Amino acid sequence: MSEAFLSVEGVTKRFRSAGGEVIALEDVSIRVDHGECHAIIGESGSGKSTLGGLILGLFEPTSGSVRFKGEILGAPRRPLRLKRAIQLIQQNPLSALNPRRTVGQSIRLAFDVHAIGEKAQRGKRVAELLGEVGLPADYALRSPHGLSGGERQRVAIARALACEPELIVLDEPTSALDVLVQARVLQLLMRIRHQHRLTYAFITHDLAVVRGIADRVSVFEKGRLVESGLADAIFATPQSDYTRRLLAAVPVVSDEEARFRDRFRAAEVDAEEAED
Amino acid sequence: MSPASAATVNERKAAVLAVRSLSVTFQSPTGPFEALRNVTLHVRPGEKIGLVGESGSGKSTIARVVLGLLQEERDVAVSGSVRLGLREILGDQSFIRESRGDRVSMIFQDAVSALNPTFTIGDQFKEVLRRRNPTISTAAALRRARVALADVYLHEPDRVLGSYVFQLSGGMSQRVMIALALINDPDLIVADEPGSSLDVTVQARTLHLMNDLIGRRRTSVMFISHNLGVVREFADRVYVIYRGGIVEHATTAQLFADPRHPYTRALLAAIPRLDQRGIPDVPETIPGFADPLIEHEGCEEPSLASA
Repeated sequence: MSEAFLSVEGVTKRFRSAGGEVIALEDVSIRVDHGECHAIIGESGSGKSTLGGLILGLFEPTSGSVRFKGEILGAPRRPLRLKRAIQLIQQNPLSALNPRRTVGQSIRLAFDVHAIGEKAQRGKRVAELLGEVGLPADYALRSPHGLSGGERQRVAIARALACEPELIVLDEPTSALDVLVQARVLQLLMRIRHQHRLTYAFITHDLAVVRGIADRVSVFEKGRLVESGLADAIFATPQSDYTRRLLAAVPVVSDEEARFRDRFRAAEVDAEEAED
Repeated sequence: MSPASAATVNERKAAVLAVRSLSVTFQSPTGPFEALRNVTLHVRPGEKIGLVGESGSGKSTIARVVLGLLQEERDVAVSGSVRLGLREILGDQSFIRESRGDRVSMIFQDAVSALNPTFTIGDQFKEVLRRRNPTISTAAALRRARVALADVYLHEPDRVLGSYVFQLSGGMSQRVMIALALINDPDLIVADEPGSSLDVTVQARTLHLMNDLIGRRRTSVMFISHNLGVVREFADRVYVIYRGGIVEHATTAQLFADPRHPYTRALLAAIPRLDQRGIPDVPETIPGFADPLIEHEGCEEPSLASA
């Protein structure tokens, strides 16, 4: 088997808490290929954001390993080139953008930290990146506070792109956006993925978004991987009861979509009554 | 149903809630902001209406006016008419203050922060029950509360009644809030994004439960949401609101089969579908969002006299 672009191999992650230990992930193995959009799905407490944190190097696995193009991804003192190659876009871009810096300064910082391009060209590159995410060049001078949610997320995308990354971890990137803005930002994300040959680890709870964008899907429940495979296969014939339960719960807007969803509902009535 | 027969139904039954030409303007340091513009809507007995719009559309402002909460704030100008049953509430704060929790109750998005953190759940039931019946004994109040908790499938009522909200899960808190909202058998429930902070499976269960209980009691509901899918499953009739004005009014079936206002059409087209690959293309600008209100057949507002 060829070397995976990103592989998670038998990873367990425990956190100490006041009441003892929490097992956030338990013996999880998944593989993400170069260029794919891999959706990581689950509800709160599923471990999906813990997995994102491990990929980004926010903490180390308790056991097992995460490899990026064959190299073990550790947490402490991760080399700058790996930090640059793996970027994050999160749900609330305001927390990712320094409020004291202008939009242009935030984007330019990436060039300075990673010594990308010639200094004299960096201002021009900022304008190009803003254009690429659909914002006017004069936004470089604005504060992130004065922007709408969609505009902030576009700035966060430009900032991630400035690092010329290979892999982007997207943690619920459109969950806080209104539906029209969400569609535009998702379109943008799909376009830049193709143009820059990027790989996405797309963390979300929204299955309709997943159906729209994902090539492959991994479903998590309470720290365990319950199912992983091609999106087409999982949406056609989910193997796990939990995946069916998630699909059955999605609110839909058309009769065709309701018919599609209700295939997963019949078996769920009993399970619902048994829950909490 | 033909337009004529719908009109007769309108005239026969007095609306539980009738909002007429409601405008709300906030005074801010940067100048006046018109949050609602000439909003007219009604809710009939036993009816579930959906009020759907994006953030900043004014949908929650309508809820706060109906609950009498906005009128207590400074720097707000409210005009028009809001009637609960036959009673005008604009300008009559004492009436709406007495009605809140009794004739009109509310279910909010985030039950954990909507419930009082410093009182036990049992004390909160007592307080709400005393709004209807000031002399109810503690024993009788707790008896009623236990029945109400059983209705929302909370199987350890005594543990729940002795708990503070932080000791309950998000799903349990949401059920407690539903039980509290229903316990005085109100004429109208205002539900603002109920369950939208919960996980999808918990949200779906919570909404089914709420729907079931409300349906059995024939309580009227004004259901406020940004989520068209949730509204489709819950509401009989829908008002679409955009930037402070109602732009489309239809039965739920009409709206989803035949959306007519450019704004509604754009919203529906932008929603990712469970049965479709790809993301819909949404142009940066779409004309027609400011077009006038479109009312579907049978959805004309009843006249003031009959409302």
